[in-house]
Amino acid sequence: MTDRADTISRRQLGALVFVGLLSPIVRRIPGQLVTTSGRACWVSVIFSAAALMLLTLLFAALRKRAGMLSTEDLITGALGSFGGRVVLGFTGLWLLFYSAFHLCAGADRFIATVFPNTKPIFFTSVMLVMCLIAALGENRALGRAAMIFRPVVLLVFALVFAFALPDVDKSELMPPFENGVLPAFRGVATLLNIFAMAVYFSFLEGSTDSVFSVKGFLPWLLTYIIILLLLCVCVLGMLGLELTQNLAHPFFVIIRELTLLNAIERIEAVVIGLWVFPDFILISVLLKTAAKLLARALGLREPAAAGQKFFCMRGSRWLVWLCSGLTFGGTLAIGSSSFRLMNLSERLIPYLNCAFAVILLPLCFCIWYVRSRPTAK
Amino acid sequence: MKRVAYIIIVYLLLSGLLCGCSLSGSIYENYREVEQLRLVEVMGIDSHNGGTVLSVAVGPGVGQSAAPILMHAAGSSISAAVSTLQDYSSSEDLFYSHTQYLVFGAEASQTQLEHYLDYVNRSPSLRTGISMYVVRNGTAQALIEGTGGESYDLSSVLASLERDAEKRGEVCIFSALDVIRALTRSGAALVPALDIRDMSSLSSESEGEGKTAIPAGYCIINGGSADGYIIGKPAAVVGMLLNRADELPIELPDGEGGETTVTLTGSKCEIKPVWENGQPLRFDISFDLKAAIVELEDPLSLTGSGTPELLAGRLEETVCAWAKQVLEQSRELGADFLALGVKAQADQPKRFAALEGGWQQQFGSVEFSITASAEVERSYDLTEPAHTEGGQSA
Repeated sequence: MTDRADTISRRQLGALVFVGLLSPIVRRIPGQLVTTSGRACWVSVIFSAAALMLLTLLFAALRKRAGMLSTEDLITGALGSFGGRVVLGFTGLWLLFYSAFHLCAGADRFIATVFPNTKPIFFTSVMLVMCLIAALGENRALGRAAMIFRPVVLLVFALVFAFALPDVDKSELMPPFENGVLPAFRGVATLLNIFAMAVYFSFLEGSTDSVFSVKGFLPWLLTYIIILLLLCVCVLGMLGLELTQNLAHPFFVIIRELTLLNAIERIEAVVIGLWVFPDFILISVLLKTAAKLLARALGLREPAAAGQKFFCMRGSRWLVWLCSGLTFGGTLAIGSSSFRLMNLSERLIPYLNCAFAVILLPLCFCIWYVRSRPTAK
Repeated sequence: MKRVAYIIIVYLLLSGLLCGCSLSGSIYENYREVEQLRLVEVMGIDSHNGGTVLSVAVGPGVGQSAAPILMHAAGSSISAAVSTLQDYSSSEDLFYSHTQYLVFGAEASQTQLEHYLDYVNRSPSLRTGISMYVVRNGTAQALIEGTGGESYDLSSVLASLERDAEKRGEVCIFSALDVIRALTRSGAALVPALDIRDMSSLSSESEGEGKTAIPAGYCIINGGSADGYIIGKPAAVVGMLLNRADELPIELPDGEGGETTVTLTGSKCEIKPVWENGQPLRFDISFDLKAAIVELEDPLSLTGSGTPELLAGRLEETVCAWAKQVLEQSRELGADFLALGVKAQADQPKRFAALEGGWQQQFGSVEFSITASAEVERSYDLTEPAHTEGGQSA
């Protein structure tokens, strides 16, 4: 039931994953990473490289056997039609809640840093409308957008790191192992929980033009590790351990402190404005995927995108509108309190994300992998 | 055509959401016309009867007259004082986002500094990277309102001070972020102190031109409030201890009642914790100094091949004495403003964690071993003093 007319290239999917993951990464790193691993957060990033490499190899083995099968097919293949539909249905609902959470988090970032005393509904509404338009469109349109956003975001990172590194106080990074090596490994778990979100993008695998290859993915994984490492070093080195722990948006605070060539300061609004790109990509993909999973769970056709008019409701496209409505309801339920958002971010979202992205979906993949083992004739 | 119509509808929808119109709490409330902005350059905070007095030096706005505006307002909190100031500033908006200097009065630094730093840290409009000062002998209001003239204000004075005094290492400038970071990690920090001086005391031509700010060492912040000052000549050693001194002039006694001035051309300080079983923690502090002769009060008294070595010895003695005074003050107050604990922790994390009673308790009993190695390298172009009495002796 995958819409074969709505394909996406492997490079575009790679760009989607790269840009989309930046949204939770900048929200949670290094703040949450510092909470679990303290001054060893930058060491955790280095340690996590090996774990991420291993997971990439495992995923490559899975996709090699799956060929052009979609991830939904793998799950129904692993759990059977009914079990698979239940898992897909719950995953779809979770993705809607997760989209709502990300909309609220994006709005909170604007309010806390650039537009104080503003109501979040302005930001969540505008972003949701933009994401709805993208979710109703073709995969390749989103992929092209991600291909454009990726160099822009990389350039911003490069400039921020270039101007921030001279201000880094090295003594704030040392000693990394004041409480032993264990915190560094706990940090790896936090990082893996964030990177596991890439699983949600794997629901686009069925629409790609080629099979996942480790060779094409490795340079971007390495780029990510370097970004994370510099992010931890710059933020921790400029703000210190305690401030990094206590700030909700430490990365944007260091941008507020930057002065470019003694001529330009207060550039944080521009950079924070740019961060709507990762939010846009992530929420659009989550909305699109949620609609697709719910359609599969309900036994409907996947919402068609290729060649469809915007307001056309045929071919289960009404589900995308419904999903957007549910997401908007989710944002209203979460509310405007940043304390509640922080509470969700620390106590509920990581565990739900872990349950779906680290346990449930990979478990389904493992079951499918074992069941699909070629039998000797 | 339908596609164009859809695009127009979507744009109208988005712009309708973004403009905010007159809805309360919309992002439009944050919009300001640049011509209406008055940029606050210096922000002064004083405590008075449990409340706060906020003083500001406001620079000219776009297309406005060049005369700086000095204002102050009292309130039960900083926010209340900010609101009152805004009420007084007629049609223009006071804009705090580009504030460059943060000045605390002596009383404010002793009573509510922690509260004020929390405000700065929390505020989305203020940067924490702004330079921070404490007025040693008065209020921030007196300094802001007394300093300057028709075309300049305290911000010009402080800009000049930062360019000049920091370059020499006479004063190390710390930002609010530096102070907050030092307080959260070491529990103590240094803030450059300023004295208010009458311009008339410096020059007879300046009579009636008001006041100015001059560097007056450092205010020691301990546990969130001012706990003392490092004043006088020993304050100069702080820059050397932090490896931030350069071109610092130092006056040395020449042994005959006169003074010789050398200027540092290079200064390195190494602080090394020494852990010995059964002994209190010791810090070996060694200075490596390079200097040049600038001024000899009695040129003929210091001639000959031994002069550089003699002056180097005096420089070593002077710097060691200053360092000893500053370090002992730090230990007596229990204020680790030089972050010695951080160095000890980085050196031996496990032994540091196992310190009996914790670092704060141990800091009172640490020992210092201070050594200096100085070299007077040059006397610029003059190899020997000129014999001005040559005609008489001949």
